[in-house]
Amino acid sequence: MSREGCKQWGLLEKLSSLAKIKLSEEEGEAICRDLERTAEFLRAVGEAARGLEVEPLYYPWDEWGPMREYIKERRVDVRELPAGLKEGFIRVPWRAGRLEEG
Amino acid sequence: MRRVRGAWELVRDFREGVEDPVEHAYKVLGAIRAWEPRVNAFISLEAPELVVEAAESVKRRIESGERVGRLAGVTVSVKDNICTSFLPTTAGSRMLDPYISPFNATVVERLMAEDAIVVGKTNLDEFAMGSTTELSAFGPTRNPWDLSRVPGGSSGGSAASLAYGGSDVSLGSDTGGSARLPAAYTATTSLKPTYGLVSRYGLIPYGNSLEQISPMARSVRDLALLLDVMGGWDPMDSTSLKVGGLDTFNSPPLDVGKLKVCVVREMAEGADPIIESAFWSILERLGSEGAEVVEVSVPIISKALPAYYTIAFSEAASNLARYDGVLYPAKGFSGVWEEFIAESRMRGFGREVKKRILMGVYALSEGYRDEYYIAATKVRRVIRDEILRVTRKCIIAAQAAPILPPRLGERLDDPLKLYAMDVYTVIANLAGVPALAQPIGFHSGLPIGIQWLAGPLEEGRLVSLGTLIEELTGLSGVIAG
Repeated sequence: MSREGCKQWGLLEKLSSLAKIKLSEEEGEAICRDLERTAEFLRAVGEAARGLEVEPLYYPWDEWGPMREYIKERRVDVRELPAGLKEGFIRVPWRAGRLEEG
Repeated sequence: MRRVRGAWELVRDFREGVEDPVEHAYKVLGAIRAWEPRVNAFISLEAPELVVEAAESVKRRIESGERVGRLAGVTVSVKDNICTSFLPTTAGSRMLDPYISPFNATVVERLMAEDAIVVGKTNLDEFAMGSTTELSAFGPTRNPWDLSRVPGGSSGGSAASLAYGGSDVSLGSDTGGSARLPAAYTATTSLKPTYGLVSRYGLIPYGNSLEQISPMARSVRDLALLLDVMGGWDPMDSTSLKVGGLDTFNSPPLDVGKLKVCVVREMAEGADPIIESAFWSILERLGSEGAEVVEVSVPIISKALPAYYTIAFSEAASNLARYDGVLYPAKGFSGVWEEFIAESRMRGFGREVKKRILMGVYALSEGYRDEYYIAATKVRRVIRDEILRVTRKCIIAAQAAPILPPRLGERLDDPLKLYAMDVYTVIANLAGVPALAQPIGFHSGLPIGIQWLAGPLEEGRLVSLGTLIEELTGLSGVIAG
């Protein structure tokens, strides 16, 4: 990768390492340029959130009353799987697979 | 422009013996043969003899008086980020080429249980990350209405297949408008369901908290038919809502005199004047039919696009961490484990995907997390609450796209221009509410669309309104050519 024309080169290298993605020189240059512009664009959200006294929303129907009746209680029990999927349980196939092999 | 019958009419005619499902299958296969070399809507196609065999089976069962499903003989194309055990699922990426899933997505199972015939898997922007269907490892898809232009994205392959008659209905996915934007660009229809109404089991994830598998079709009634079949609770998806027995197909006609439409200023302004003119003209027509049309303002919506992209990038970074070269086809060469992963990801992912993962890691990293990801989720809460407040009073009318379908390559050099194409559509995904996109006109041969947003689980109201709009515009079941 080349540092030419990219102010955030160090940051890009750090991010690539964290994300475990190698970049070719050409890709690195192009992504670095876009990264700066995109980060600038996304920064607007930080400014918009300043002063908002609300909790983050990770799931659209987290505690919204009218939708609660449509949300089933869910529990996770990896040990029960994959013998049979029980109603109300979340399936975690990759973990269950490992247990099965073990 | 040509007109074709809807899927629901075909099923009726097959059952009554008025139309032959085998002849119909040959027609669809003929359209694929004629258009595919120019359009590239499909990544993989089912063997023609299997498609014909399936149609023959439907025909035999009808003739012998056996029960057939609600989609008997209907051809369906499936976006290639929805898993099928009988055709490869690549998500438009070299990373997954030629992955074959060991199971079918719930939606595919449900369609096939109703005797739909899957004709192939459609092209998309890699991992559904794009708005033009140019960013696929399998080449761009072109818009059948103008081959020099894009069909929108990321479900552009699905929309294009409908627009030239390569399938009767289609499955897309909508993370930030990925089914509605292509619908607007191809004179087809699409309905992004309420978050949780349609199972995501078997959908290759990009932004879990935002996306829904979405029916796509050439008419609103066909969307309803498809939604009724594919929707409802699924124990395999932990975010699935406990809803069953959908019947949006039989939604009662709308009493236009009681209809209240809200135009949220921030979701209507800023589009190309040609699109704005078509938008206001259909609202005027609704007004003249007796509907009440009011303008409202929700200022926080001006921050929806950066909030959406911050969340989508962050979820993508997490979701795509699984592609490490061990479980999936693209692999590195190094004997050192960490290098092997980095090489696999270098070889497997395209540039846009890499960029979004890096941006997601950035937004989630210590020191930036509060300013980006957490801030975006807070803005999202305010947007959701505002949209729920407005949709309790009225159906929202909004632009579907800010510009007419761009030419290939026109938007690729600037990421912000590309992201801006979703400015009106991301709002429904942030809020989790249903949204319908449909055509309202043409300009110089290019389709113009509109979208309608309703409250959670109000898909039936959208179907009723969409059917009324089709009566006003006459734009239902149209295909290019």
